[in-house]
Amino acid sequence: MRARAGDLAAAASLVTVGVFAVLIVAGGRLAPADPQRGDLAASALGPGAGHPLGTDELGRDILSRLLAGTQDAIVGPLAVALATTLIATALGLLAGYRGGWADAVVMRCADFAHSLPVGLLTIVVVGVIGGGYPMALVTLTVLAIPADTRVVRGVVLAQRGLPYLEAAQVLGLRRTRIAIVHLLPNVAPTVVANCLLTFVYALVSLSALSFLGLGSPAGSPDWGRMLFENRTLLDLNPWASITPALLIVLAAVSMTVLGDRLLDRALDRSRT
Amino acid sequence: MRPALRLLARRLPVSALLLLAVSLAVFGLLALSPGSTERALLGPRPATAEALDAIRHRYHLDQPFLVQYGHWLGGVLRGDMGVSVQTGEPVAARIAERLSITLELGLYATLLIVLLGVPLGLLAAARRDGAADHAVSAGAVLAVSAPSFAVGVLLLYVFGVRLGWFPVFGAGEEGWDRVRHLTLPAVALALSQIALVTRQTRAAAIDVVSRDHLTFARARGLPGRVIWRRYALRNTAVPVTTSVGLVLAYAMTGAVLVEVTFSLPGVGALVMESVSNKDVPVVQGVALSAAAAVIAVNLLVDLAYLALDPRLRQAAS
Amino acid sequence: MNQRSRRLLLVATLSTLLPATACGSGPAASSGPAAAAGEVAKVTWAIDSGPRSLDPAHAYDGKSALVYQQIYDSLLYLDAAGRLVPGLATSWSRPDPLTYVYRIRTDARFWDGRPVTAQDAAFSLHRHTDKGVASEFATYFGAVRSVTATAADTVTVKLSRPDPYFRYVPALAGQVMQQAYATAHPENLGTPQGRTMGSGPYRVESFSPATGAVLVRNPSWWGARPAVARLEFKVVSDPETLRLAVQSGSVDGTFLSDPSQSRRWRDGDRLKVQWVPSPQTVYLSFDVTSAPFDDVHVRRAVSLSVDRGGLTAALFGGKARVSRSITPPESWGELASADQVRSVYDGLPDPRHDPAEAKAELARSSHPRGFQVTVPYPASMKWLGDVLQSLQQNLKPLGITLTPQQVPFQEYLAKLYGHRQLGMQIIPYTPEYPDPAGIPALVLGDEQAKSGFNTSGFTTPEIERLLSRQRTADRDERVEGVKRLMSILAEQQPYAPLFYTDIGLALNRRLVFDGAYTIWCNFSQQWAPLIKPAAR
Repeated sequence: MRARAGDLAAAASLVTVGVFAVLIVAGGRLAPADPQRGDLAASALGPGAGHPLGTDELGRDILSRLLAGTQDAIVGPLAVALATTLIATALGLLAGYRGGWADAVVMRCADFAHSLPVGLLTIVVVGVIGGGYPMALVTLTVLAIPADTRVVRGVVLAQRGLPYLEAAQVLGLRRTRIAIVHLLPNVAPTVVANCLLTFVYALVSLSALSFLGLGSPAGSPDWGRMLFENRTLLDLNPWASITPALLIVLAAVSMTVLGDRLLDRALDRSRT
Repeated sequence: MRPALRLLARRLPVSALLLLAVSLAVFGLLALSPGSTERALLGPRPATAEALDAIRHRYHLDQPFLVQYGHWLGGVLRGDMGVSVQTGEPVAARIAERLSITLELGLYATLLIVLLGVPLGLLAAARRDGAADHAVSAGAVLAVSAPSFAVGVLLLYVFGVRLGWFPVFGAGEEGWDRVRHLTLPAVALALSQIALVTRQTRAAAIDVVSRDHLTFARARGLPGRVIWRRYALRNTAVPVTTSVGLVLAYAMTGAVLVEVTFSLPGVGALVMESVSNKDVPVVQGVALSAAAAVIAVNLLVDLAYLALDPRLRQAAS
Repeated sequence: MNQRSRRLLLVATLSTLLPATACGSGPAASSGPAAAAGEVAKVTWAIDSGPRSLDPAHAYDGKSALVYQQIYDSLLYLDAAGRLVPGLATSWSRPDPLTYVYRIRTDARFWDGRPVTAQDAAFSLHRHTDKGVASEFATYFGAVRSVTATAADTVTVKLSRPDPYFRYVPALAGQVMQQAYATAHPENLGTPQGRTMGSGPYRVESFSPATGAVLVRNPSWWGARPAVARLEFKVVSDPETLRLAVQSGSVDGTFLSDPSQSRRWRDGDRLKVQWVPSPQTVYLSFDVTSAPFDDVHVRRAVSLSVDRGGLTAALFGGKARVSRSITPPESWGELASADQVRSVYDGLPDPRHDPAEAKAELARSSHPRGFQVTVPYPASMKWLGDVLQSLQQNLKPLGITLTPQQVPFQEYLAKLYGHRQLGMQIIPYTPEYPDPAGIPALVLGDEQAKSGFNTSGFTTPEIERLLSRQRTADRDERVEGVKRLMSILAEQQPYAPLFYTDIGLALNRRLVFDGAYTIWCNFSQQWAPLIKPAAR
């Protein structure tokens, strides 16, 4: 069965995500060296004693920087995912449940955003206005909201004709109350799954911005920035850029697999 | 063709408005941004106050924002996107010069998607639940969400630095050399879309195979090859078209990362360069062209749907 | 600090003094094998960013000059040691402090066969004073009152006030273009569409700011026939691509201006890399008009915290020298003898990395517990960010929080010229002519603090007096004046000198650079005729 491959992938992803979770909490403490402190005499060394993954140009320990960077790599995207989900769910409920002009306005805005070159806009906004990391977080959130709203609205529409909602309406409950107390729990699985996917989008986009030298501040142990700053060291210490690349891929893939899985389940359940 | 015309009539004015909004937004952003255009024009060395004034006047920088935008818009409507602040060249010429690499990259990636994604998906569907299916499906799961720039660096290291199969950086000379240079970037750009198309093709093919008309066709004694070609392929056309459209539309913007990773002198690299040099006309020009490309491709994809899927044709009319 | 970096620090400190010895004759920079007579059909030369324009007035930057110096004849040039040498002008004189007279050669012809006249030369110089042209060289012409062709072969420049630096201007902005051609292309002169008309050893076959330029030998040039028939400039913006391209032989040579690349550029089978000391100076600038850098102890504490020796080794692979003054020894030109120059630098304090002393200085300041400061650096110069990150770590124990901020190049530049809340800045500067007062005149004084390059806002009545005396004083007084300026700077530290970074020349072994390679090649020489086939 297909489920076997899928289950295997999901299980592996769950383990990976678990490891990342441990690293967020303990990453800084596990680091063998100060991630910021460099020894200029030990610049761009390959892997060896004391530096399992070598050092970067300023002689900073790569492994320590990767571990210290876990927290930054996860917290920023988490903020984007939560903010996006919160706003998009509210808008999606409004559009899907209230319908009418609210639906029209929200959906036209979503259409508008859909036909924009989003990647380019993010780069132009963050690159031109500056503002660094906080600006990157805000921009990503704003640009992610339309797509998420569309998803939530879709699920709400599917629920609208179901008996429990009609019953609630017949009972004369207030609309906001119905939406929050009765509708929301039923859309929740989709929202959660979607939140995970938004998280991946934010993680990838943030490291992409850092990779372009935007976003995270210079010298911070951000994976994308390490990839960018150490790219020129491919011949001196390749691990300095390969390991952050691997970590980004690993984080993105494992979260996507989990998110997809959750979304499939949620959609299956909402159909039955 | 009536539904197609109707679609165009509805979408074209909206698209024009959209472009206007994008251009105004980008123009506003650039006006707000730190850094000064007259500096960009005068180079890094100290300049006299007179020279600064002269430059401001010549490029209308001493006028209010909306007047400046009006000048620019008037030019665009006459087919003139202005001149690059950095080089004094027409913006259109600067973009055209870089566009070929980006388009070649986009086309190469598209080819990879069609030539790898569809056969792999069909293979997986045909060998459903076999080893091939599992391998392809697992690969697709891995590849679908891998970010292009991270994959790019990994490809660069493995196939460029370690194995030495492909050149590491740059676009090379025209011809075969160019193909070799663009191979790794195209793979990095196409990878997630290949995975997506593989999954969609597999799903569509399985769907078709299990459906009645295929059982009927088989009963009619049509050979397997014909059945696959006529039904399965046709059903996968819609998802494949979407993916190809997406890749082409985002080649101009999504390629920024890949172009930076492999140092290709394409449009994406031009954007980065112009943003850092506050070359307002060029950033404007690229943003507008990219938005136009995205809108146009979306429109084409929708038109292709109409042509490919009779049910949509009915719904539209 | 461990043993290795201490040794490197020592080497670096010693070498600070070395160029001073070589200064009179120019650093000896022999390019290995001797040149052979003969032809080279084609040379591909890489530049890391495109030439912006072929019109010098709109392309005053090193990359553009590399290209346009080969297609024009300039009135004067600088030789390897930074001395003025004849170009289109065979001789020049200064009959009085306000008048410069250039006698130009009569056998030069533009590519279209028309003779180069004194009128063309006068027009080309005068353009830079024209508001309508808005030349990037305009600052150098601030003192110019008139430029006229006073005879068929004579151009006379009249100044409105004495300007000792004007003597170098004909070597920087003295490129002569055809007046008729320039006036016929008012809008697009120097662009790929408009091109230009010069008289130099090469003429333009094609030009693009994005991809480079193709130059072909001008058969009717008045000088000795260059060996290279065809010179193709190719833009390769990525440093790694560039290195691989030169290493593989697909590009024949390039000039290297980023010293942080030196560890990666090694000699190869096909490739010879040569680094030479240059007067590119890198320094920290402190805004002395506002807290916390209005306190000299704070400035000293920061300066003492820079591990200059460690950085030259780690970032530049030793291809940089720790500097004692923002004015590099190579910029003395003809003003003083090598011995004089050496003794000037010997008299300056050694820029140590001394955390304990830094701590003591800060304790003496009005910010004993530290402060926060954000320092921008251009995204295109990652190595400046690396210097700041290292300093950030060294300042942490003092309680000073330094945040390096990567910004687009134009934003960095706009901030420097904006003169608002400059705080602390990191600045790389390449002097464009060899005069030791050039940098002080640029970075000190009231006038420069308002609209120029005085990013520290530092000035005193004595400095104003010293700077204005530089304009008129004789040689000995000028040397004494520069010495005094340098000691005030060392005492007050509005600028903390960091390094002089080397420049490099990477060349395919089939070619040689038949002359000494120095910084003055990049702006003020026709270097392409110096490229010759290597002797076998």
